[in-house]
Amino acid sequence: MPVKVSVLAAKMAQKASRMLNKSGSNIPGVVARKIDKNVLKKLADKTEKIIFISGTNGKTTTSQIVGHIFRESGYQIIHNSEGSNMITGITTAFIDNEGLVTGKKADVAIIEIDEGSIERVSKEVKPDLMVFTNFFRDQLDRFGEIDILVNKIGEVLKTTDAKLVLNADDPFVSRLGRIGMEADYFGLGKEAFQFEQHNMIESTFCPECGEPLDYSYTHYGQLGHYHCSCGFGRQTPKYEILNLEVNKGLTFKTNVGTFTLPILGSYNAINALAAISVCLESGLTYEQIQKALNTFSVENGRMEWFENKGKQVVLNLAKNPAGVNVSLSESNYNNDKRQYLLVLNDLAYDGRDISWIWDADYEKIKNSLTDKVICSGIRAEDMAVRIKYAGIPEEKIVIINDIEKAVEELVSSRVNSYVVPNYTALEPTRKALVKRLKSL
Amino acid sequence: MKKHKHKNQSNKEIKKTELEPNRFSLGNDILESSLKTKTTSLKVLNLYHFFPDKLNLYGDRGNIISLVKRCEWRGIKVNVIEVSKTDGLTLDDMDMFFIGGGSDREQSLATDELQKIKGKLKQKIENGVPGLTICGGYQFLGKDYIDANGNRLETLGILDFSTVAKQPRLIGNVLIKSEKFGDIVGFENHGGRTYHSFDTLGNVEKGNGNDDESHKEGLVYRNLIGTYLHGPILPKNPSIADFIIEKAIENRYGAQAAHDWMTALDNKLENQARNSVWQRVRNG
Repeated sequence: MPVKVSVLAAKMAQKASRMLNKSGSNIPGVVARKIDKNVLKKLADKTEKIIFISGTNGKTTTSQIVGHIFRESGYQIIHNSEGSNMITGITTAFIDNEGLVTGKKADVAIIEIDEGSIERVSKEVKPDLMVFTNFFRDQLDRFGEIDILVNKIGEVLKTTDAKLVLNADDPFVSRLGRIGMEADYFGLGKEAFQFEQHNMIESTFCPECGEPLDYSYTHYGQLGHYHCSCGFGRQTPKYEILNLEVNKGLTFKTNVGTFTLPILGSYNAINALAAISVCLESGLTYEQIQKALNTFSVENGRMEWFENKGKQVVLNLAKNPAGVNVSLSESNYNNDKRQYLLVLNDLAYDGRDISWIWDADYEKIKNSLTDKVICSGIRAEDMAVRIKYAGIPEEKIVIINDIEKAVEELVSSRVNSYVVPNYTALEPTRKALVKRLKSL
Repeated sequence: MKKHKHKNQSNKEIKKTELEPNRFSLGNDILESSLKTKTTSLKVLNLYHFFPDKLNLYGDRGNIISLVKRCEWRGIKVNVIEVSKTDGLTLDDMDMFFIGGGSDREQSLATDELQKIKGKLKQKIENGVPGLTICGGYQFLGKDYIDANGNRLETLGILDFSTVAKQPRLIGNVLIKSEKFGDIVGFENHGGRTYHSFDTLGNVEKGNGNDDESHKEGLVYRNLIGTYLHGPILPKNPSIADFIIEKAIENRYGAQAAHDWMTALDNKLENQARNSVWQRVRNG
């Protein structure tokens, strides 16, 4: 079947869906795949360069940075947004690139891909370059254990010719460097930055032999400099951060030059380094990259910053223990008074099981500096219990299930605020903040 | 930045939280307050947490947090003894214990270790030492586990019951009516069906529980509780947490101490969270 037929149908479906005021990012993909199950393969086959970006945390930010750098460097790109990182969303991104008269517009695809979708998508799209940020435990009932996931991904990758760009500091990611494919690494040097430590228990066993890994240095979680007596260990990164400064933005010195970008969140330096590694491996220059980074901004609730009567309000999505830990750590890099808004939903996309909040270190919330912890969302009551057992007195804990009202309560106090919603809670929380506050 | 301590830990059988604050500890607040408690009172309990490095799925460490905090709020200090190897372990000073579930590989490593002390563990259970075992930790107390391929795995054999793995996996919220503990809420995620004739935690109102036929969930034998419920179970069901604590006090310090020390706590938030889950799940 000519690919134009399914593309046309998909575009009509998209129009219809937009007229019905639905966002429609998955609908064209769904329709096109119904008409021609090979549509994605056909469109991908005629795309010159395909970059996949995956991992548990940081894939959206990494993908956004890569996309921004390519665009600023003059490329037309195929680019899916977060939330459209499974097969139908990815199909939609390729369809959007098709002009019905003019033919395809872009030759480079920068695709964020859900780690659980790699197997299915890779049957149809063969990436040229694939970057992995990290593997943490995600919403528990969705993927099963990390071991199984990484094994599966390894098997799938072997069916492609992708060059791998891997986080040297994550033993789980690094393990993919041993499946016989070309791989380069990025990482963070010892003493490059003092991350706040987490209590969370993550993989510290060798993924090859099962013995405990020996760490000479830990960044946070299972990320660090490790080796095992069996020979498995951290690989020397081709791109390495030697020093990181966080100050209204990130500045980091690497072995290939110093980079500055105006976003928050110390751990975002690792996402930025992943993005930079991808761009350098794709032939872009240091100058192109740095020029683009100057104008990068986030508008998606990832360390997004607002102002409330002279006080900062930091919004950061966290959908798993590792994400919560880094989000709460961000509030502890100063000693100002603060309040928190923690929003917890348990819809299908969040994972129905919210047990994971007990694997996250809410103990990072310092009672002496905290005025109030507002718990919101469908499972606000569960969050309140978690916070009580993290050592915050009950009189500081407020339950307001309705997100709009919770944000109202938050902005009524003039104090630094940290807002941490999980996946489906992010959009309503962000909307309520945007409605009331100025972006920074 | 701290250097990792794993290497030196791997040679040690046990470590006590009070002696060695590390990444497995529950946060400085707890540590500090428990150290303070030590100097002002003699109310001390030892909680053995088996294999927190291997059996740590689904937020089950929340059960440890619950036991520690509910003791702390009553002026009782809990030493959390994190067991990673069992060689030379006597269990003599064990007042209560916890075993969670893990992935298959980790579960089998943990079971190998537990085999070495199963006689002592059985004796403790017979003597009424309270314990909470969840999912894999629960299944592996039985005499065998038949996996999805029909292979029989040797388990600890401390109690006479069997588990058979089947499809589909049973996943979702669970509501239990319990005579002993009142309403219980939790979240199950298991392939195994456990069949036994011991007492249970109660009747399943929603969800599956031990298997998909009997409408019963969990196992109660003396002061041992086995259950499929994550959530974790103790924070939202404080009557179970308090049962474990009370029995631990009773065994070591006597019935009068158990009565005196178990001051009533304000469970407003816990009850609110449990009721909220109950309403949603029953109606949904």
